Amino acid sequence: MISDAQAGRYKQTPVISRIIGHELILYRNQTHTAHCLNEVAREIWLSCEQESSLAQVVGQVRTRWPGIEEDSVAEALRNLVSAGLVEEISVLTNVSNSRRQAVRKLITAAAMLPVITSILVPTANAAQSPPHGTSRTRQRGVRGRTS
Amino acid sequence: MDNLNEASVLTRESSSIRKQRFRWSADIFEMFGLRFCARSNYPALVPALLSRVSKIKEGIGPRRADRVYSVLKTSHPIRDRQHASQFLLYVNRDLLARTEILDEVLDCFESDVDLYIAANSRERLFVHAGAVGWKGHTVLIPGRSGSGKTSLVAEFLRCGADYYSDDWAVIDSHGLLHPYDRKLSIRIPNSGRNRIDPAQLGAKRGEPLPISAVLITEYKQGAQWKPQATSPGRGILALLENTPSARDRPMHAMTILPRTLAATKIYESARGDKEETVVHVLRHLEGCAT
Repeated sequence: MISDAQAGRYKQTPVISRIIGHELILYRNQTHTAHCLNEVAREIWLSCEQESSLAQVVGQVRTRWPGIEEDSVAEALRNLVSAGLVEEISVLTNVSNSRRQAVRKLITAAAMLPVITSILVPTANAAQSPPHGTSRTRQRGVRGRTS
Repeated sequence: MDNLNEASVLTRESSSIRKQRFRWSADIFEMFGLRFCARSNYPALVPALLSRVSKIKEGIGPRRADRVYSVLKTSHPIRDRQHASQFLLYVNRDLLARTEILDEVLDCFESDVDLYIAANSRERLFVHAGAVGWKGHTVLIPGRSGSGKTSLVAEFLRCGADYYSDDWAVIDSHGLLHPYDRKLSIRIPNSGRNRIDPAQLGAKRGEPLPISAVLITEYKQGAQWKPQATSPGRGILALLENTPSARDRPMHAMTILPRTLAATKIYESARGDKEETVVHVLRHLEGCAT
């Protein structure tokens, strides 16, 4: 068990968020990335609305999923931090890899794994089909109006 | 058509061309709340350009346009005192294409107009996707160029589906899918593309409808269509990956897409044979209808 004093503290970063069914879609302007959080990951992210410690987040998530392991929440928080969706105020240091791996297997079996799927939203030009022209056509990039 | 005397778009061309003053034939048209000017020093080219765009309001005023297309027809000497025609297509001040083939100019013009609308329209959300209708249901097939959407759409149409789009799906603020009137552009190996009117395949124009299903699929040789139902969130990511306006106006896309896919089935699978895929999907939609 990680004590509250030892654990890092986490807070949501500013993003555009939309709930669809049990999932949460987040769009981060700074990186032009979109993320889909499943129900467990969504609860973890929502628990970071105020600056929270790992223990506080775990406590919040366990109100809905009492069996969820602390290490899986910590892993999800690390993923949220690396996706830029949560800011880590201090560094978490004392979670052992072997224990984390063991717990991950258990969590997978219990279908309580927080899942975060991310994409990079392309530029307008990247989303375009090439025109029908052949090699004799020389093209430049298309400049769109930005808002 | 209006006559506009201006050569300012030619600042990047050779000095001999730049020094000339052209007499332009021009028209201004509007699509999805955006205004375009199409002009040429060769009057017959303006109607040819306008024939490539649909749902236009022509001759509108005032004359200020969001984007100006200029097609310059010139001739350059080739052997034995003969001259060949050359077309230069500018968008605003930038050279977009230089070619001896008129169809290539028109293709570039059409493609650029479509992309500009997709990236900038505030009236509709444009997703790079094929879309068809079947007995009151609609199917959206998002995908980049080369993912095989057009050939899949053509196969749906041959089976009697209604036509919405082979390249750009148009979604309104209520989440309804609208048709985008363009010919299908089917690739032919080593010889460019063939443009086919959907009516030639017996297709009717679709009516505005909610989106029933999204197929996240890509052609893979030897693959079989084995659809796995996936979540609406995964569907939204697939559409965001193909929405040109999402970077500049994420709020617009993030408002419309969840509304659009709230009750939509999302399926994911690689596919091989298009006939097999289409038959499978249509059977599934028949099942939904009964």
